[in-house]
Amino acid sequence: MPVRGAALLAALLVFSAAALAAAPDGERSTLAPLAVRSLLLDAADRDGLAIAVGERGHVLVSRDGGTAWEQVVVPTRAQLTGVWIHEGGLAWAVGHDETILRSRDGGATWELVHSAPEEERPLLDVWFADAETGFAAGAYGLLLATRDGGSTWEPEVVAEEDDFHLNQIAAGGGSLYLAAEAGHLYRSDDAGRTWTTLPSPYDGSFFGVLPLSDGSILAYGLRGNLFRSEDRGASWAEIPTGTEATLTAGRDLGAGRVAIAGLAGALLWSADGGRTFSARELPDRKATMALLPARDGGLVLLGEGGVRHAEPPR
Amino acid sequence: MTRERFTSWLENLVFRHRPWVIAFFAVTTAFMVWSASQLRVDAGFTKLLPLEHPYMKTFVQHQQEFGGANRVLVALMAREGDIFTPEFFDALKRATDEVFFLPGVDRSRVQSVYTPNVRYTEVVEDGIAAGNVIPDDFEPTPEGLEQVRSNILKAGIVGRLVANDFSGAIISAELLEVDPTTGEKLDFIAVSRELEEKVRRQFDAEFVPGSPVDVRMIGFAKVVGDIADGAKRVVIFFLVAFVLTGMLVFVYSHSHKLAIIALGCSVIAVVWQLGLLTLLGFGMDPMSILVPFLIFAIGVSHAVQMISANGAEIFDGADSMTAARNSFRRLLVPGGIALASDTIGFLTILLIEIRVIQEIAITASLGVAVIILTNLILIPVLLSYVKFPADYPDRLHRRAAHMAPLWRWFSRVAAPRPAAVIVLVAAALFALGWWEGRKVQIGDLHKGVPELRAESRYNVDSAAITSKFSIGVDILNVIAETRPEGCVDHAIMTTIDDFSWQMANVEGVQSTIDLPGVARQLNAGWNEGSPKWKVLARNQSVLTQSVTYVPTSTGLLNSDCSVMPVMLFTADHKAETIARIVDAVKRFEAGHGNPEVAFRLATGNVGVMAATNEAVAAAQFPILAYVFGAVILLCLVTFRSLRATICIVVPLALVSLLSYALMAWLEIGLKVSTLPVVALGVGVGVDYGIYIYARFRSFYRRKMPLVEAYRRTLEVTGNGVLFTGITLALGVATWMFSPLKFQADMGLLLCFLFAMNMVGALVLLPALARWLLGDTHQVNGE
Repeated sequence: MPVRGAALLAALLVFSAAALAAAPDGERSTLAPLAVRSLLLDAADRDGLAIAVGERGHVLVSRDGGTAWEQVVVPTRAQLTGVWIHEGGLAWAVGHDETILRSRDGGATWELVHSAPEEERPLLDVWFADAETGFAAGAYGLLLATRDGGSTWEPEVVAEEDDFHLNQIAAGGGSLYLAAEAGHLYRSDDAGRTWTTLPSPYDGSFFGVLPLSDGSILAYGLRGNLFRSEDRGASWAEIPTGTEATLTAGRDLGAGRVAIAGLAGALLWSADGGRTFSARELPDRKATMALLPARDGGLVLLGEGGVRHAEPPR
Repeated sequence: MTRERFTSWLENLVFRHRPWVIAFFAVTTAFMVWSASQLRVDAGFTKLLPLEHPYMKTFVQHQQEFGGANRVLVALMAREGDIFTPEFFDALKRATDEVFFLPGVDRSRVQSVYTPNVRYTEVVEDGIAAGNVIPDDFEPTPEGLEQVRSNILKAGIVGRLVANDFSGAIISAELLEVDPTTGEKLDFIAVSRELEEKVRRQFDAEFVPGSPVDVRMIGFAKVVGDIADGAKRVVIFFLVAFVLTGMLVFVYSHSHKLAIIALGCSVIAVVWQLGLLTLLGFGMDPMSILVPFLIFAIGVSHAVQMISANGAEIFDGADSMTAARNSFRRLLVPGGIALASDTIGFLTILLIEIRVIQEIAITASLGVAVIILTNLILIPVLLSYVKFPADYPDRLHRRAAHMAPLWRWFSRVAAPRPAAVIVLVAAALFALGWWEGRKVQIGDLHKGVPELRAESRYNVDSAAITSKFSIGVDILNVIAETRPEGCVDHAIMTTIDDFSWQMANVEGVQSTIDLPGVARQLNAGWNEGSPKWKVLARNQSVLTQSVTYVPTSTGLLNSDCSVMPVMLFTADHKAETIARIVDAVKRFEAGHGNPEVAFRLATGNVGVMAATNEAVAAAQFPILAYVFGAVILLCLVTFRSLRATICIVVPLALVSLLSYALMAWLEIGLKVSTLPVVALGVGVGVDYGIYIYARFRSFYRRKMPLVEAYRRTLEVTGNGVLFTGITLALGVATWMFSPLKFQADMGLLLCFLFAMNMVGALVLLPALARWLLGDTHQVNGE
């Protein structure tokens, strides 16, 4: 596999400027001391492995719960917007130019399995049901599906008339959910074959949907809007957040504890399964795009300014 | 011998037409006074730039388009708590108005939270909402202030117009090139003065008791104003130096008439120099303003030599006329050569292609050339008129008797054993100087504006502002040149974006600002503020949407979008930081492979420093080679002896080396102001050696034992050399009190060089002579 071999070679020559200069322009990310402080747009963790992705094809890997991160070279410089870790070290990352990357070794090396810059459509999130079946959600209603482990990708129809940005895809309680632009929410009960449009409590964009372990679902988006449903999205209750910042990331931390974060340093905590939240504004007022649990009970925040850390609530 | 025949021909010419000589000097001086009165103060900062350097060619080329961002920042810092008090907002409103009405301020671009051009935008469900940070119906109530606080956050001006910890707020103003009310080029010094009068004195708690704010101000105009204020104090230093020198000359010469002649002729030399400056079309700037000091000090020191020689004749019982003629004859050649070597030494500095240094070279060499006329011709002529009191020889006798034991003791330096010790100590000092001198760094080593002292008001203000706001004062602009409409080409913008990111990763770069970065931010803005859309769109019309609202006043693009500066904010302006960044820029330019983009160095204050540092680094060895080459050549021609040349030049080399060690110890960097100092020091310092060696050789040739020859030398010239060293050192020592850092540095170094070159000539020269010449004169010994 020539691509993979070249990636390995580049990884071996990590700090050699000559190797970086020799890499073909625009095809391969470059190792940068500040990658860990660059714009990161999504993160995933599983079995002690964490992967974060972001601008300029930055992929960072952590094996200590998000404290230390190491950048790896990938065969793209496109902005990466979503990452998913399956078991056994299989991982996926998606981004602009319809870029889809696959790793089979826990994020150490990556191969480019799909790319279509000429389509001018970014992918915004990725989710896999198993090693073979997965979805990449993107702008203008684009939902790509694979049933062969990523070798081929076919567009799926979510809603015939809609071309809204599909901002996030998440699974819970046997269903799949899509959070989309302009107040749209979709659900699939047959592993993504068919989708139904859910009644929306709001006409602004949703940037995330978070199924919780107790079966309820949170949906959040523009201007601090947060809604909770106990009936798989059939009806929604508005939850006051105390912030007008756009909410972008959520995480079920177990035992009823839920964290939601957003732009401008917004960070919300719930201790009652998402029924009520208390808000605070992080002093750096930077955007958070993904949350990981930190070992001290706090949070690892990924977003503007790279990897940050938030103390657990008092 | 021809030389002697020429000397006596000149002597007769001068002394037979004394009234004509005096008349010539009187008329010329009157003319020069008139000419000097036309002298203009010239703060032309382009003179400080190495314009021949490729970076500076870029600088000059893009100055018109991007030179406009001449900004002044006025920060009001809350003395207690944060800015959210009615008192603070009242002060900020009034101060904004004051800044608005300052002369030369571009009123449409004045920014503070109070100005209507500072707006907040927020993404709402159906698009983007915007408003003024301070709403029209603002009341300084807790609710009103809370609203403003939230608007400030939405406007994204924290760090720029509001302190990161809300402890202060900035009023930002841009200055126009031309004052619209007068139609003339804007006078920065006047703007600086207005800022002090209208803003600092009306709002700062130091001047207004009970004021809730401290005022901090930075900006290029303020720097110019503060330097001009500092430069004015030079007049005081000149007066102090004049009075001190006058007292010394009086003590030395035991005669007020002689003191007046010495000082008067030196002042005439200064006047001629200033007059010639105007005739040549030069102005005076804060750096070359120091040259008249040098001329005055060199003039006095040579006048003292003349007075000494004259005194020696009177001492031996000659009358005024004979004494004057003999002194003239005796000093014409060594004095002429000493001054010629000064002139040549100064002229070698011309080879450095920085205008201000070249001007120093020209003005200093002109001044020294003038001293040849005033001191070697006018002084002896005037001396021939002086009626010495009857007891004058007695006074000199008494002093000679007084000094004799000292000189007898001191002449032991030429004895074998002390000479050996001295030569060994000198060798050790050579090693030390070499070791320490290598640590001298090029460029500026400290924070703040290097022209001003670290504790100056400006630099204190600058430190306060940079610590509270996200504002960098050290900027290196790399100019990305491409084709017209380059900013809507995805590949071109990506190359520039890559460049910016690579530079951000270079140690010493704190942050970068560039058009692709702004375009990415705006693209996210068009997509509901989502960071996932912070990209350069491939679609040209989408990319156009991202750059079309960025005004050229940001300094990030020109009107046809063919030039896009990348601003690199650096952590400091140390030479090694600059060199590292410059290196990275050059490496990227060599390897990025996009034929449509060229990254050219550099503008911004750090860009200027980068060019200057490179020019200084390139010149530092040539300047020494030239000045020492000139001095060596002169010594060889004069004395026709390699050993004499070694005796004179080695002490100079040692002291020069030690001055580098001193610079390293005192953390004075090698820069435009300190580069010529060693050359000046050597050029002037060689005089001591020439005077001493010439006299010494005349005794030595009479087959006197070496120590005796040296004792006699000291009795005749020792006082003069000692006195000269002290005079010169004192003249420049006053600069150490200058509020301008570079004047203080130059003063300190020149003081060291002048004093130590004197010591070197008195101590090391005879010790070397002992080892090179042997005890008594050998017939073929030279």
